[in-house]
Amino acid sequence: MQDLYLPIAAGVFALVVVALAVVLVRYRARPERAARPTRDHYSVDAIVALVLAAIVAVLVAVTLRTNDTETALARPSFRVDAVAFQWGWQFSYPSRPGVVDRSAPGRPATLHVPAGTTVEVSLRTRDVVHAFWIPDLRFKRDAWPRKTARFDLRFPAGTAAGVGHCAQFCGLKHSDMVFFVDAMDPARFASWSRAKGGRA
Amino acid sequence: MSATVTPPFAPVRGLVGLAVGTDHKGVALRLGTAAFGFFLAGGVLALLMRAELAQPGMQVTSRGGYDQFFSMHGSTMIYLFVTPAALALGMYLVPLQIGAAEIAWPRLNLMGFWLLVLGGLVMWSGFLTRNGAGSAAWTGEYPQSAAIATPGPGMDLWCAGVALAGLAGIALAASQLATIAGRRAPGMTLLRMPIFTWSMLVTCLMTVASFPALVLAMGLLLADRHGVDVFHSAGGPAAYQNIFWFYGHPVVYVMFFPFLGAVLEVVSTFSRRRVFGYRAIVISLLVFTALSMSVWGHHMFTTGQVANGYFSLTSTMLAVPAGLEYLAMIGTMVGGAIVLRTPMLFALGFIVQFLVGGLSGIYVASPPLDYHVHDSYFVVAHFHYTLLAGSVFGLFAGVYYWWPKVTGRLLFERLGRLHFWLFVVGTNLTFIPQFVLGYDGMPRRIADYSPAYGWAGWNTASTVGAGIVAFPSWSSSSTWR
Repeated sequence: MQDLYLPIAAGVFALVVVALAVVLVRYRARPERAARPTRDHYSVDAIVALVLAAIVAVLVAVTLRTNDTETALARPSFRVDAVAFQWGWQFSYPSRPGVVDRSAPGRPATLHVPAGTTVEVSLRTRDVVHAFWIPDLRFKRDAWPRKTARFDLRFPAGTAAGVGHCAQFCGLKHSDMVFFVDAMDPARFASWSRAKGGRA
Repeated sequence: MSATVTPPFAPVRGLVGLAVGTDHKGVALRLGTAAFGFFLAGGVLALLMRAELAQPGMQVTSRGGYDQFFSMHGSTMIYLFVTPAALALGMYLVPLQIGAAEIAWPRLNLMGFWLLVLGGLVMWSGFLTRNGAGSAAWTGEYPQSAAIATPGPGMDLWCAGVALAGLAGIALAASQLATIAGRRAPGMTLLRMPIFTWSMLVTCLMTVASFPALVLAMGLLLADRHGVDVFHSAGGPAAYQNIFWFYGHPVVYVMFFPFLGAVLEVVSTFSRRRVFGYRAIVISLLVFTALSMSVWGHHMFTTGQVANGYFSLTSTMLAVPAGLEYLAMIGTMVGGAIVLRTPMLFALGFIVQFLVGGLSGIYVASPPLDYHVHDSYFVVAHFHYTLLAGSVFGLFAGVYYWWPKVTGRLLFERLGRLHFWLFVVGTNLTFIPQFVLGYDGMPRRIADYSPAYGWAGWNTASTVGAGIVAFPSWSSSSTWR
């Protein structure tokens, strides 16, 4: 997506800036030359409109396809129940009954997940709207009162520690509503799970 | 025997005239002055926020104070500065450009001015209440804006103030629409109207079509805060957002078109030729206006409760009319004799810097990209490039351009150039770091951040930039009145 949007944006920006620079140098007022009266060329407008429409068509087509694959739910290998509240997070794991990671004052919760596989998150809120954002995964989703949002996350293989934020303003301690992410390789995840009393 | 002609509204002078005078030029100057005052007030809040964010830790204010600052900053700039400034520009110029003797419905127009002033005072009076001013962002999203999450009269005053400002917009826009519809001089057909008047026509169309949704949202929110279960049901929060953004997106173009129109006039004058592709501009403005009413859902991509594909399509399609407007601006200069006076510099600044806002707008119109940057500083940078680095440059282009016509005095060219260059450096230094911060994971509306994230350097740079922006704003305020 980025690889498509950024070059086009950079190209358009460069085109406009260069065009402006050329025009400013070429048509700067000089004593010996008067401005030419404007003549409209609506064919130029039509061509520009068609070119832009074609670019838009490509961008939208790619966007829609990517959006479908990114938001489609695959068969998950691990599930997480995430609950947002003012001002913290609680993560529990349906396949590991009794294992709960919950924020305490001054100590953010940690989300434990296996790396390299599909993790399905069920996201709820206990009060106002919050948003679950893991910048490293470039994905966020809002938690809405009385609704459950379901989405897949896929952490790259290998062990990685990261951070997540609440992105939706939710009151006084919105700034503090962070959580840690511990994505573990399968062996470490199994030992974490055993230590917590769950199955590997 | 001599006959005397009594004008329909005899001019009232003096202090009373400032209150009840209905001449469109006078009301426009008063509205513009009020809007500029709110610009300075909102700017002070911006500086306080930037001072707080320059380094990790809380140095300037409390968390609660910060929430009031950013809520009132956004509310002031959008409801009380850019929108009324845009409408003031139109109020002054539209009757003159189309040869109308007076604005239509002058008393309604005057009422719009007073409603706006009243709305602003009501909104800001929240600072005097026990819990402080409204602190649920400029959007007042539910249930954060509900009585249980944001208690206190400050938030009620915010709702009432925003509703008054919304009513003001409707009154002001209706007067200008009626003027364009019914008061054009003989021979001034629609397709002969100056392009600035066209930009005001579409601006006012969007205003009367979308601002009622804002007034509705505020009325319902106020009722909800006082015991009426309006948004409390499962679908309520989404209903609030849909109503609010039905206003909230068209208003983005209400805060853009008048300045685009002003820039087109400036470019035309300082290129010494009329605008290129007049009819294409008119069509693109109308297409833009029609599309603007069907893009609001792009503020809700991460809610999972709107048709993301549809709103992505309509939002990205805006690139087509916007591109034609850019073609018109550059096409007007081709073959001209360009004179680089201060208004033209600001117009050129508008063209380049608004483009950054527009292109980043296409980027965030794509849901898979927006899932990352939504509600981050990337979006903050994006819309400040459209509003401050874009529209406000267009506003200054217009103000410097029409200043001699309004006051009969020329401005200091050297000070104007200094103002321009300080603004260019300041806005870019403020907002380029915010693109980086947002992409790196800094959420918007946070009062503090951990030093571990490594955001202090970029934030300090952004704060220095804001200081540079503030300097010419203050100095121009002292030289202008």
